[in-house]
Amino acid sequence: MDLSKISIKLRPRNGYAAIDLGTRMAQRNLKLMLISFIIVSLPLYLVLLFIFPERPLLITFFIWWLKPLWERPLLLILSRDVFHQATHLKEVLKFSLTNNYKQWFQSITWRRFSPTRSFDAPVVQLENLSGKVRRERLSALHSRSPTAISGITFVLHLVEALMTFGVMLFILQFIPNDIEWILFLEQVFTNTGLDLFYLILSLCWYLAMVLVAPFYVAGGFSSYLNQRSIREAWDLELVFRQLANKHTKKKFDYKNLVAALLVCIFTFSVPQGISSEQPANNETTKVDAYAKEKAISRQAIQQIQSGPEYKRVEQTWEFRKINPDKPKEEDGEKKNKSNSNFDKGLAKTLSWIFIILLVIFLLYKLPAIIEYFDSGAKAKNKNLKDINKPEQLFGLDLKQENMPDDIVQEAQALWQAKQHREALGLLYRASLSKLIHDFDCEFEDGFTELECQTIVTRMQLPLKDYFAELTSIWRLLAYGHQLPTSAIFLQISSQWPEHFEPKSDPNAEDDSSIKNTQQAASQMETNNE
Amino acid sequence: MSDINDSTTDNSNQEQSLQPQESAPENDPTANDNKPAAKDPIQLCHRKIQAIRGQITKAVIGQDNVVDLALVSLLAAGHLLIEGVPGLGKTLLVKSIAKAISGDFSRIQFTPDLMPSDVTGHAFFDQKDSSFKVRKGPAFTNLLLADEINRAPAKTQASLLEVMQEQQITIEGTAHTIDKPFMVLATQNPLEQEGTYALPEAELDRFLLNATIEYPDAASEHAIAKMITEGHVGDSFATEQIEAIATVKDVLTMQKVATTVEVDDSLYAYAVRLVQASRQWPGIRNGAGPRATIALIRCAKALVLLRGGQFVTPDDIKQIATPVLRHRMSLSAELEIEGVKVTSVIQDILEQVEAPRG
Repeated sequence: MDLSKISIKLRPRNGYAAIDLGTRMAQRNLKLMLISFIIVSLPLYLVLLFIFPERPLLITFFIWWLKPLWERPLLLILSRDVFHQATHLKEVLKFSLTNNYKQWFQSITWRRFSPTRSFDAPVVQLENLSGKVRRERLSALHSRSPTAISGITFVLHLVEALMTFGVMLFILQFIPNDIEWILFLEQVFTNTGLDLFYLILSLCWYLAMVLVAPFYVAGGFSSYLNQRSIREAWDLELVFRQLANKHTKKKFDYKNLVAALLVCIFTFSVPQGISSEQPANNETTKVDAYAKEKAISRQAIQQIQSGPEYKRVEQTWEFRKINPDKPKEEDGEKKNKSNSNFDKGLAKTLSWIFIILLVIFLLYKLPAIIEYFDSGAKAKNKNLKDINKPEQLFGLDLKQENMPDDIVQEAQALWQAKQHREALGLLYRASLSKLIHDFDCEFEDGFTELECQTIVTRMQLPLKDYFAELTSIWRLLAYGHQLPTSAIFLQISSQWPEHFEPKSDPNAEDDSSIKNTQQAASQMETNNE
Repeated sequence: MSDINDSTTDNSNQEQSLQPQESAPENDPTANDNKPAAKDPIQLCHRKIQAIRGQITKAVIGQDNVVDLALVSLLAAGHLLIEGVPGLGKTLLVKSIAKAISGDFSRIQFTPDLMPSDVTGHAFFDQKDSSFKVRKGPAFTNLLLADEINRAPAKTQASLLEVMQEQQITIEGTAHTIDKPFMVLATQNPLEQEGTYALPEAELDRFLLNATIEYPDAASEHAIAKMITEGHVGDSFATEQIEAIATVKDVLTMQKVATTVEVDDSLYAYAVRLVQASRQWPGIRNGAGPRATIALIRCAKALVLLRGGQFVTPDDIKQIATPVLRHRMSLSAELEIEGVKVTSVIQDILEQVEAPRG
């Protein structure tokens, strides 16, 4: 680590100033960091989504859990950028495939929820410390309480959550209420009403994760640099080094100056006669010495070049765009060009892979799309209907489980107990409950009895006439306060199971039961009189 | 937007007359229970009002909805505010009602220079008798057509407040009662707003109902053109063929009978829920007041009488809710900018407020 090459200004900062520096560092490398995060995490996300399309939130949670692994390439980029070293996607990929797994298990288990995770990461990744040494190192770095980094962990978690729901709401806000695209998407992409919502939520979460990660990593790394700078006095070291360099330079100048002065004195003080002969001898001596030295150097170089270090042959290969018209470039430029070409090629390849996958997916889902346009998703989406079934309407409890087991018997018992309104009300309420849950009638809170009846009539249900009769009797009692005769009630109640409950045995109703019904009717009449 | 919602079919905005509910099931075994004996006062009144309606619709063609609302207003002893462009038969409607019930009729064209005394009347000094005498204004009548009421300034509009609410007119400190029945049918032109004075909320609240009069359909327009041009001079419809088949006493009787129509407690609660919802609904600047709850019940009763029913149902309240609430509610600026209409908000309220179940 050569501190003289560091690209940031070293000085002791407080915690939040250090995080601010980290934000600047993240901004400078944002594009590369975002792409790196996506490249290492997106493939797994898509593969899991493809395998488990019904669990989008669980998948995003899994990706979130593995975030320490996705953040490591970002730290690599930042650590190199600090020393003016550019990082290319190729290097990021290589790093992800080879060096990304140091202490991975610890990182995604007990260290996962550490509030100083991004601060501690450089100790493992850059200093390669583990075990006791790592602990001692961290305790030393934590000695100045890193409250700022814990704070930024909390704040960025909030930002991630807010961004997730913000983007979600932003998307939903642009979908008109009456558009059926939701149904279409539900039909095509999922099979239930809620999955699309979770899928969008999952994508928004992933997007928020991608956007927040660079700042989180950079904040932790800059705090780490700041702590080391304070503890190890990097800033002083740097100043001393600069002073030393300056001092060395001054010495050199002094020597030159002395030499120049000596030459001048010597030149002007020597007599003319001596001076006219002496140069020839001096020059000859100098040339000989130079030639001798040159020969020795050449010999030494040849000796070194003939050594085994210069005999090793290494073969490498790379993709390179051949352009014969262009002149050959220098090695450094070639390397940069090669990296740039690699990045472009990678992006292009990924785009093509995405397009091909999309086409395959659409082809795979083609029957569902055709089915939607053929028959209409709304009618066929039974699951969605189940979700929309209300448990309470018009202020009445319409849950099937809250209805008596034998509705007719219960209603007739109420009637006999002279609770006429309750008896007829139970029959009517049970009918509505059955219509909603078993016959898929869609009633709104504001519907009146006649409106409900109209819907039943429109649906051409076999029980429409019976329900119309029941509604009429109920309205007369409820609003006109006109009590139907017991015979009418008995008739309407005894017919109820025929229409609303499936017949188990058509011959079950024997003569004795008819007699019983007739007896009950006469008894009710007597009671009412 | 229709004044009356066809709740028996769906909540769409179909124009429908307030006639007996055709959706009553044909196989309804209790249908006859709702048709009492011939001497039942409700049934008698129903026949009479239907006869009056028949006379009015001889002249007013293709405006059944407005005719029904005018009759509901008459039976409920209220006042009607009609919105519509000129030339759709508003004056004819009032004239026809007045003739059918053998009542008096006055018409005031409201203009910016109209004075309150031009409406109510004034006292003048009679030099012959050396005493003050009262010259009664056009408001002393049974049916008063206040044409383009929003063209007069607030002071003149306010002169109608007393007579509409108290059914009396005070001139020079003396209160003069007016003959009953008394009904104001005021009109507003919704298109021409320049030089108009918007009616204040207090006065709007005095109107029981707010009807919109629309252009007649092609068939009705065809019939109107034929009727007016065959054997008539000029372009106005003569009301000679309308028979006076009732008297003002009959109207007063019908108004009394309307009050006897049965209303279940749950329907009072429903009316309250609707009106309260109109105050709490998002995007509403001013909701309807307690007068609207009273108006809902009064109009529902009158509607039942018009139809010949025996009791009020939630459907009656839903059907009358839009004309009762429309002029009593005002939208926030945001909703107005978005082009939302009051009627669509009322429709939302009707769809979402729990309907009663007995």
